[in-house]
Amino acid sequence: MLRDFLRLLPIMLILGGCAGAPKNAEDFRQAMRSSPFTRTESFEVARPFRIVSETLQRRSEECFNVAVHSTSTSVNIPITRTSIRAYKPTFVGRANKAELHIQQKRSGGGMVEIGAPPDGYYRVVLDAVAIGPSRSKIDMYYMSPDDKYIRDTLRGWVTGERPGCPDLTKR
Amino acid sequence: MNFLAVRACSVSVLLITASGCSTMRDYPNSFPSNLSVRTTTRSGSVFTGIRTYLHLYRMKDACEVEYLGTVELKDTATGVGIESGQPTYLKFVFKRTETFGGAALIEYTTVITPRSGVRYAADVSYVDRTYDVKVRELDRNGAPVREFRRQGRDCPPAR
Repeated sequence: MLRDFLRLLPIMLILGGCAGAPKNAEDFRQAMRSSPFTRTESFEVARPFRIVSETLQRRSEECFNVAVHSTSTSVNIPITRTSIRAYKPTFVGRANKAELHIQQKRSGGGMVEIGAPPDGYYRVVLDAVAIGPSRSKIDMYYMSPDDKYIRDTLRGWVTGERPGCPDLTKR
Repeated sequence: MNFLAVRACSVSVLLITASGCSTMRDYPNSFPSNLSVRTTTRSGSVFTGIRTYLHLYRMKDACEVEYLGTVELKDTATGVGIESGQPTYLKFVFKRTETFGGAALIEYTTVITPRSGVRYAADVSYVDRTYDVKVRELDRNGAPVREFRRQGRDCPPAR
């Protein structure tokens, strides 16, 4: 009995953790604020809010409406696995605030996401607000240090320094 | 952007093993040059190589295309001649190869129907894990007047 429980414990912990995954952007913000690790960053940019908002909307549609298909073959067993990471950007624009949510849904390759929202786990949420005629404040919330490439991209967009898309094929 | 177009875009990034380019053939480039492509690549690592290609397709309809050929883009300006009045599907591909194995293809697609006597310019870059493609129509003075957005083929979902 005890042995069975110990066998199942890791699975129960994983399922418990996944089932508690944030289901919307506000839940995600709250979870990242209360994380024991640093999962938020804030800064100001010397750009008008309107331009920041337009850039986020336009570039996110172009750069994050993508799916990364990856194929790997085991060295020891002749099995090829194909998995897909599908990204979904959601832009929410208001008069003085803009939000960008980046979600990632993984499928294939034996992966099952438990407790994730339909479009995948939230990876990064960015809020931009106007704090003056030519300044904007940015708050970013992120799931993991692995999301640095997404954060760097969004930072490049809001500062206007790097307008390109991230190479999402590289981890 | 409708759902089908989103789906088309959603497959625009592929990570595959290196083998997908075996059927490439040179684009004949027989029309007068009307598209100038400027390419910049910097992988950010001595263990990573980047090659850049432009595949050209004639669009038969919103989904079906006919492959015309490929131009390898070097880190200089490349002149490409595209038939005027013909909707043409441009697929810019960054091929990233790692010294210790592994390769990835990143695709950026758009559709252009060149107008007679009009010039176009494309700025293509992959710098430190960030890529960008901008295709623009130019006025007589060489100033950009219109930008072509990233666009996939409008195909029905696969069954």
